[in-house]
Amino acid sequence: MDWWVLLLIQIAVIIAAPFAVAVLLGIDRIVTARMQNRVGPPVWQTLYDFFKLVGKKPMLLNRPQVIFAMLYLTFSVFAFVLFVFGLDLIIIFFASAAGSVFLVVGAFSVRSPYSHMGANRELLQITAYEPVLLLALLTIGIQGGSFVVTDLYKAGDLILTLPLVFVALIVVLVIKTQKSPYDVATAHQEIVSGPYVEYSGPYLAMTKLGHWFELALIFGIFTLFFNSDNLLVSALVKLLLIAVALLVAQIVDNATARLTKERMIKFTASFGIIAIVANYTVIYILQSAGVI
Amino acid sequence: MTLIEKSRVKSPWVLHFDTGSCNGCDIEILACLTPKYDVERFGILNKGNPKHADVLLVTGPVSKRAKERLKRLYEQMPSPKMVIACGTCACTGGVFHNCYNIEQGVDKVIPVDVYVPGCAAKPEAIIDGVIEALTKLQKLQEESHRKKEVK
Amino acid sequence: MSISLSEFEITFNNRKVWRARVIKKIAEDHSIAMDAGLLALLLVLVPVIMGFLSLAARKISVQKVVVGVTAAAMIILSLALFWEMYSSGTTELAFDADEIDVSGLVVPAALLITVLDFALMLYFMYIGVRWKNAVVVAFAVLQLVPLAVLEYLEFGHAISPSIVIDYLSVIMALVISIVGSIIIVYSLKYMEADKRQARFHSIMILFLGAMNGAVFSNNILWLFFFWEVTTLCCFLLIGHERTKEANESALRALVYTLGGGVAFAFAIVLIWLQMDTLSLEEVLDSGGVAAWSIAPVALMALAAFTKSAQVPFQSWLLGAMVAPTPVSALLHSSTMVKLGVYLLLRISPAIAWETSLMWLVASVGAISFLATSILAVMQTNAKRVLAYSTIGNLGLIVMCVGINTSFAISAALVLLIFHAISKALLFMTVGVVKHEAHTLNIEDMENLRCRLPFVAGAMLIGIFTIMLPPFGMFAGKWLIVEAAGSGFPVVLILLAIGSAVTALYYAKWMGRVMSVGATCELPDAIRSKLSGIYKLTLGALVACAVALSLLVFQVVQYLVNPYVALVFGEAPLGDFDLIIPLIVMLFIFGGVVLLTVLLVRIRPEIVSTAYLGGENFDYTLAGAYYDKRVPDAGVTYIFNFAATVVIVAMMMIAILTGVL
Repeated sequence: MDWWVLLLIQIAVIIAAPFAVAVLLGIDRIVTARMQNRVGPPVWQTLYDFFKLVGKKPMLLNRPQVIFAMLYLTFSVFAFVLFVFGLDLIIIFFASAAGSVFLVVGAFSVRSPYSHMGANRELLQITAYEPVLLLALLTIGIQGGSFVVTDLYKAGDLILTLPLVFVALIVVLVIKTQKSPYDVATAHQEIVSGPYVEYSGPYLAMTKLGHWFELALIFGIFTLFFNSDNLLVSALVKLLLIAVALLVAQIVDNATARLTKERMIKFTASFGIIAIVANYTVIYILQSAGVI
Repeated sequence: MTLIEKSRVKSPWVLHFDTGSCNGCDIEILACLTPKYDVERFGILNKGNPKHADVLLVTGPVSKRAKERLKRLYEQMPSPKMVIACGTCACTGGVFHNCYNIEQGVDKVIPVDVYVPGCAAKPEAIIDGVIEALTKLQKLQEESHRKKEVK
Repeated sequence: MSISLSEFEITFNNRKVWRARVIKKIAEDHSIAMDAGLLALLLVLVPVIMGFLSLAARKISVQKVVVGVTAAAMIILSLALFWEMYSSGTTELAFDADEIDVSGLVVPAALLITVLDFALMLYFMYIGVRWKNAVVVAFAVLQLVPLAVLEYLEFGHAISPSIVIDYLSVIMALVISIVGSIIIVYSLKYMEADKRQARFHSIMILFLGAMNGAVFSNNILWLFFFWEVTTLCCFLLIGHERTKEANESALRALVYTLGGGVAFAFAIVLIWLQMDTLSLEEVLDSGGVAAWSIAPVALMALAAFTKSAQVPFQSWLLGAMVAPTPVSALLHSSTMVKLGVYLLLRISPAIAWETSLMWLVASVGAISFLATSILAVMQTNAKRVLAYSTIGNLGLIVMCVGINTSFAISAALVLLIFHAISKALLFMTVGVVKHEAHTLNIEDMENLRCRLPFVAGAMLIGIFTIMLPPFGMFAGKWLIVEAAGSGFPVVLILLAIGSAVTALYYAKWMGRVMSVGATCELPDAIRSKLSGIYKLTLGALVACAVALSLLVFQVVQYLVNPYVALVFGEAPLGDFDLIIPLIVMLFIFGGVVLLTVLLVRIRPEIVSTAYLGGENFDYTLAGAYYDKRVPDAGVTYIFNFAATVVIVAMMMIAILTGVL
């Protein structure tokens, strides 16, 4: 297809992504509510929340707080844009990691006890999930034969060869979507809102948007696990993968209480890394033996 | 109604503050969040942080100590914001009216939009009060629109 | 007075197939080669002469002039050397400098160096005797005896060429001269109140000359001599304060680095016995066919590990933090410890002779990186955090050398350049904070943005450039790609965990410096006025860091690629696509900061207070205390043990390949 058609499609995806993630999160809230025997909010609720925040009168503590929130937003968007344009996974990872750190520094830059505690916990969360995410991306790249996303789309059936990596990425998804048992940073009952506590109105909307783009990236990485030439089958299976991942995260969320940050690190470090290493070893052995 | 104005009505985030209440009204407010009454279907979320909240639910007659804190929390909420006084203690001082240790009701400290009477106020009444506050917000927005059109 | 080289030789090198070289023509007129050689010699001699001048000068003003002149001269000379190499298109120049003709007076350089070498070893023995340290004496003897035997056997045998200038040397010379010059100017102001300034400045300047000598030497004995001179300078400078702690740390540093020197001496003797040459080039070209060729490589790697304070040898670098901050900035972050990784980079073709050796070297780097990342989280003393961070980054470079592909070596060189600048900047800011705010504790740096805004800004830029992708350390990206492709999975895991933990301790520090209210309400008495020299030197390094980050493509193209092409025959980092996203990120960063600063006006009505549950009281913000959670000693013990196992394995491989 022509380059400008592809560009239009890519821009459309980038603009539609936060809306899609918001709707997904809305569905998430409805499913949680139904699990808890409630009715739940309408599907568009997250979007209503977002626009309400945009319409509030701005209130801030100091300027660096806003600067870092903006940096978090732009780097999350940039990482997602790089992903949609099909560039190198490792650079995408670095951009996303930089964004997360900017959020933390923004939370540190206000003199607020809850904010600092939240920022420290957020740092620990990052320490917990980043190695797993990086190793997962590397395994995907090694198995798929290239680190460039456009090449990985031709790889095809990574879900069959890398199932444990998929499971490890679900653990990362649990932490990223701030779900129990690892919603350590934004532990509502303990530290109110963690790193987001001093953000309000439009600035909180900025951080929310950044968070949606982060989630869009993770969901995008889930879509790498399957591809087929038939566009309809491809789209359906990709959606199915995202739905399964989110559903598992949901069930875990509703079934567990919050755990301590030490357990978070221990669990993700041991389970996440061991799962990926085990997967890679099995594949390596099978490939050298010529089975696959 | 613009998108932002509709969203304000559709997504009121609540901050609950107890200024010396016997906890009766607080328990009823908590009951609203349970599956039986389920206020999340109106988009209501209980946020503990004034900077994230739109609606301030106050219970209790405002004791002298709580007065300063209540004012500060109100100031830390970004506008547009609504204040709902839950229970008769919050409305007029209730059972403790004319006692020396309290302000006689929330409206002596901060401006109140909706009064929900009752001792303790029923969850249905509290939900009704929140809806009343949202209706009031909607009317205020429509009025400001009309004023702009007149100009 | 004119200085000329008698008996020079320009060699074009046709090498064997395993190590393809790019042959470049230079003009028939040999003046270009001579200019480069001249510049190299000057880069070594000028600091030495100026160092002695500074020692002789008693007046402070004269010393200041000497230091200033040296700094300017070094910067100009190193840039001129780079320009010569670049404009002539050569990638490698080789000279003999055994005898230097100074307007008719012939200076026998080779003889001079040999004599000084033995004098140095005897001085080490004297130090050991004076401080009653038997280990130092033993190490000095262990170095002296084999080398004496070697000199006796090979006396009169000329090693040719004795100086080789290639882009690795040029990169090191640029780093040493430019960063070093900025630091010695900084130390003029920093050591103002010190009573033994003359000694301090002269040793610092002399040290720069020794470093330059080391990176230009092709004769292994000369390299060894300059190596030991840097050891001596390190010992003298750490012990500058003459407190009990300083003396102990200096002795510990001496013990470890002399131990490395012993390994180096044995390596030299083995090379002589096996390959009958003392020229590094010939050793590397030999292709590892001689029977005992792996053993000297392993021993030199061991020497490099002690010099670069890799785990398990890291305790000397931690102890060395008692030295004045310019010493930490110069020796222990940007130059002397880089000499160890320089040696590893130099012998990297030889490490490739044995795959298990590659794997083991990479493991030591990875273990150092992870160990020091975890240990840095638990520190609150800023200099200790920086020391651990230095060892970690050197571990990354060592890992690159172990992986030993063209990508990895390119990544190592980029890491080397950017780390030197950023770390020196950070040490210097910490030094200023120590002088002005009298604290080295990160927990106390809370109001830095108000008290010392310039220093706080420099510190933040330093941390940004070390930690975040749009700036220099993106070389880690290639490192990871290479580690993924090389089949060393354990290394990969350590790398992934280590890089996440690195972000943890730097972000924690950055947060501490950042946190302040909307406006600074501090009485003017506390606001310090920063000295001009501090502003000049800190500003210069900030400018370098930011400029080089913007020009990273040029850095790769003109500095890194020529050397990698020389060694591997291909320069993989020519791909513009890889660097564009990072430059874009840099512009996004700058753009967003600028836009937000311009658009967000702080009107009093939108400024609020922190959420404290409705309360309003004075509070101090405490940091997260990780040191209570995980014991420092236990973690150190585990990693020391792991690294020792790896090094023992390395030595066993060395012996086994020789015997079998």
